[in-house]
Amino acid sequence: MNFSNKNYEQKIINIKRVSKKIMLSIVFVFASFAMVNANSSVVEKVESDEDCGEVAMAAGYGAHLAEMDDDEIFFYMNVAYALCEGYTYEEIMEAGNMG
Amino acid sequence: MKKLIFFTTLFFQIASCLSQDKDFYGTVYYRFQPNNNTVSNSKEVEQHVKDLFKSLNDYAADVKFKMDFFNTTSIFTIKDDLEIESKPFAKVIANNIVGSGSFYCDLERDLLYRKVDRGDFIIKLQPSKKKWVLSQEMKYIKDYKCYKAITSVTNKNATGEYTFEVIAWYAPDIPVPFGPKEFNGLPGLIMELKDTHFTFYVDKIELFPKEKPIIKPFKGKIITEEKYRERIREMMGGFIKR
Repeated sequence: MNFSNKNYEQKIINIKRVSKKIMLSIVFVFASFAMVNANSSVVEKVESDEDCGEVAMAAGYGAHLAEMDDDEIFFYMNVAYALCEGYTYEEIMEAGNMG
Repeated sequence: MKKLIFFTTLFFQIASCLSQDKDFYGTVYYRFQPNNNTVSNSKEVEQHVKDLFKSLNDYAADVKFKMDFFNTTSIFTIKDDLEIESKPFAKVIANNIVGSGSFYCDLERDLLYRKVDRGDFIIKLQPSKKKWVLSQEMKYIKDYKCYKAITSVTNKNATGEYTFEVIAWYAPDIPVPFGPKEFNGLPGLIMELKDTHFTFYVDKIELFPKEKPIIKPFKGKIITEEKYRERIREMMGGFIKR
């Protein structure tokens, strides 16, 4: 869990770059879910002022800092994004990209 | 006096089974706690992210894991619990973050299968690849004399590979060579396991229950660990490249 000072800055840059890229696929999965359920009440979400992409990226950044594995990072970013968007835990499960 | 009777009975039960070459089976329940290296303790992370991670951990805190064993085979998975039935997502959190799936182990055939929810994959691993360093350091857990053993785990993500020291405390008095997740092969039941981000603690041990556990390998598409990593990268949109 110790960062080498020499590589620390580069690591942070890499984490931010990667988190942004992962976000695109997460947004896509949840956007697809919303389209599939377009006629149901599931998608009636409260508009949020928060940028959920930023929230998910911050979660991914935290998970990277904690030196987690790829699949754990993906899970945390998905959950962070979905909760920010106003999905319930049940709806997140229904979206099907958590497991 | 009660303890003496309990341990004497347990000793004779185990000794009797081993000497008569009878089946040796049971179930061990584990609870868990986050380690202090989680996001919640990082100075670099924003408070709202710490709150999110903490709330997920808290939500899944009541989930327990169970490890069924039968002679040289075992299955480690989430315990089906009525208390948790109302919170199915707690199981999902625990399964994805804490347990990293379910594990089937057959020490005789040197087989270890990890079943993950995503894509119904079964990842094939080898128990013999896990190398332990045994030490004479000792402590008591639930009145059992336990010894320390150390191995390592490497996490991989898009920014690099990170190796963690994993510490197990096993009880030679309970000759069950299994433990949480993929951590098996020690000369005694793992009573406590400090993994990368969580620590597992034995909650309850049931030896020779009335109903023998049925342990069968998982069904599904078997892939290697490398293939699984490739699949995860694909699921992330192919963006994770080193």
